[in-house]
Amino acid sequence: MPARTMAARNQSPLNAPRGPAATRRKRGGARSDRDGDLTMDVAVKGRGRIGKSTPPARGGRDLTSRTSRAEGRGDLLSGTARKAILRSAAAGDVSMREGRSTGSRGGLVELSITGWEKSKASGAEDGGVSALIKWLEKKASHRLGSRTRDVKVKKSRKEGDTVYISVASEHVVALVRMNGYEWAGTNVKIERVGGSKESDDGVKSQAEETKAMLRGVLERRYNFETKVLDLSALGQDPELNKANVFDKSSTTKKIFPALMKVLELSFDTEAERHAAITGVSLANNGLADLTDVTTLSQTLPKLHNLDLSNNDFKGLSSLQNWRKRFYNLQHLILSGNPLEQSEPEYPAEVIKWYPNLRMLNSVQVRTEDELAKKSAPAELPFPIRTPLFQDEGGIAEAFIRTFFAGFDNDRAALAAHYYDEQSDFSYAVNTQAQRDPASTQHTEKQEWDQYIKNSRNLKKISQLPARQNRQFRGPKAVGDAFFALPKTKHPDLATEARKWMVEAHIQPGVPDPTGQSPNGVDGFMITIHGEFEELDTATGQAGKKRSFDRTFIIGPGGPSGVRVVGDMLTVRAFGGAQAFDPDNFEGWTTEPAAPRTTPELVPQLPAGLTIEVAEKMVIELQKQTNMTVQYAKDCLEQVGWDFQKGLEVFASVKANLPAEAFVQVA
Amino acid sequence: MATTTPLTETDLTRISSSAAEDFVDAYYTALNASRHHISSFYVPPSPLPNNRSLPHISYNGEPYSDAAAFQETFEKQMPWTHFEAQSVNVHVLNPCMVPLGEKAGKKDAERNMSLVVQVSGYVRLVERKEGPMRGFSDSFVLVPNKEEVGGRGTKGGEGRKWLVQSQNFRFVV
Repeated sequence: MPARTMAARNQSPLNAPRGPAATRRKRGGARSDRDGDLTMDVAVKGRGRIGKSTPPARGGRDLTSRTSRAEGRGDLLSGTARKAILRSAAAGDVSMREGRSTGSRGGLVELSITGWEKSKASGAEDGGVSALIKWLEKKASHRLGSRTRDVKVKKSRKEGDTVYISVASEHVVALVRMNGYEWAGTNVKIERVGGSKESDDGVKSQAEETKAMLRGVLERRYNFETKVLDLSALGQDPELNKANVFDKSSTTKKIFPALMKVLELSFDTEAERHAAITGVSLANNGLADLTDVTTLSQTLPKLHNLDLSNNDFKGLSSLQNWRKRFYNLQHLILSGNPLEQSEPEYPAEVIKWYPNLRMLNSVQVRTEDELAKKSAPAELPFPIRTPLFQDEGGIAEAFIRTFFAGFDNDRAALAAHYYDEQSDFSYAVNTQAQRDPASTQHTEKQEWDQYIKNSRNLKKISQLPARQNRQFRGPKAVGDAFFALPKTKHPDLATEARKWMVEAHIQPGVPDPTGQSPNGVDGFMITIHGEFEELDTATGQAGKKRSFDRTFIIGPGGPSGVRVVGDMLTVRAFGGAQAFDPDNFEGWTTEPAAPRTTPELVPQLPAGLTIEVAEKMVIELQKQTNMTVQYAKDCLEQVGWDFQKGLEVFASVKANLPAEAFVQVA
Repeated sequence: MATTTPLTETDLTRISSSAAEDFVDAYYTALNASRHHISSFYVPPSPLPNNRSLPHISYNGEPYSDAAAFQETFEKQMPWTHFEAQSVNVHVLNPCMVPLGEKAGKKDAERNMSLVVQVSGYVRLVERKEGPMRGFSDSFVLVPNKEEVGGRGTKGGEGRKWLVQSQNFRFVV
């Protein structure tokens, strides 16, 4: 799974807390490479306040850039060129992703490296060659985008001032792209021996070249270690300035959206993109508002760190666009902007904008403790757990399957099947229920008209006769009440199980219609949460989505052997299924609601665990717990074959396991 | 049939709906503001055959066999909450839980039924104004608080008329 690999590989000790503050400043106009610079350790690591106390060296440059821009109005990248870039970028006609291989596989390609000998590492015994190769491998492996791989230098030799390396052909592109990068204080030249193979690929279109250039800019400005993309001072970027498609004084306005587009194309999935880039610096771009760079909040909405220092923001109103964006933002830098003088109270407001903000201008504004108190429900003492489903002989499960199929298709038959003269049904509408935060359905004026007439919400219906009239008893009345409700389509219980939350337990004291057990008999209490679509009776078209909660008491009796004693339904606005999504489940409990598919004969084992060992674990767990082999195996599977954990989980759910989970002693 | 009651349908509706309303008011108030009383809303722990026991509490999938443990979780770990019931409905589950003698009057019959209550509402968590809001669904089986069902009776104890025998709670939004 690429996302996982990515995340694992990206682990670095220099994580989020550093962020843009730690982004090393680029020097001069040279192409610099952050992690290639041997002096990086003395950089502003961990502090990096760009406050006024230490006026940035580039302040002057920034000023000139603004002047030059002012002079050059109309200067910008010509409209056509810009459109062409965006169009081709959007069309994705050139894959920005790395192919699995370029050129023939297997063969080694020789590259020459020059210009390295005057590096700061030249004092080393080998003149810095091994350090150079190490850097090449690391830098080429840690690239921006999906499907990065470990680049290995297979062979190397030194001839005079030239180092020759041999690498697998699919890594050539990554290395050649590093041509001109700065390593240990010097710019190294990397070329393919025998000339560029570029010509083999035919002539590249201008759009392709532009894209490749933008991609190069992004890569050079990306720090794999800190996961920071440094988009500061774009106006001074030598490569951007050099590129023909841009006018000399091109601005962020034109380049930025194209950069974002290329960035998006560099990743296969959003998750990979978000994992790779957690911080962005937009410092020193002369920004007076967010118009030019607003696409950042769409491309990288999950940023933790954002550096907006040394721009031209005059007040918070110029940042308004991002007020509700960057929900995960933890560190924001706004120093060096005029708003510091014009709105000295701005921090209080900014803290409100970003609920997860911990640092503002490198000053702590919220502690982890404070944030923990604001904890999301996931951190409540009641995390989402798998359904507790207590069944006997599949009675409850069979009931649920039959019931919802019948409710969608033939309600009259359903009422006759499960409801007898003593069965009660009523429903209530909760018109104010919480809605699914992600849903785009809007509420209409007569939203609940079809339901309200018989709604028995005791909060609204206070008169006794009305309360009585809205409760239906017996198959006929229940069937009629069913009929009056909009036609529905519920998701399939088996294939769309995650849209359902079905729980059941044995409920004593249910009335016995035969009268043989005057103290009542055992039945089930079943609670179901889910959703349905209303169907237009005439066209059969799906309409509004609703959520519902349904509580049944069922007991023995009736024509089918199972009768509904009570059936209570709450209908409410669509609330989604995220509150009980199985992805958020923890731990292991008894039977899931949906029947398991036939158990696999070969269990899914983690790497390093043999079938023999697994079998022994199952037998041992079975011996210690008296569970059946199937339950013991399931239990171990759920805990990733950690035997101790299996025992713990068993101890915690023991009381809720059905009798069939245990080996029956004859 | 032994399972009959002298109460009329109107009686049953009146008793059940006022019981549900009172219960819902008191119960969520306790969750919000008097958590040390939570366990008093439940029947005392009592074993059933087949290794089961009452009360049955299933709280967002977490089983509790004992209301004291549930109360402790709420007291010690649950952040500030404001539960609000937006919709409440009730049925009589069993109008006659145990056979009553022939002389039994309406008063006895009123104390001889069980109810099933369904609640839909929201809970504001952590903080009154800006805390996260969640939707919940809560279902209860209530039984009268009397010695026969293992209760402490309304005279002693906390004076609750109805106790929770079964509960199933879920966050649903």
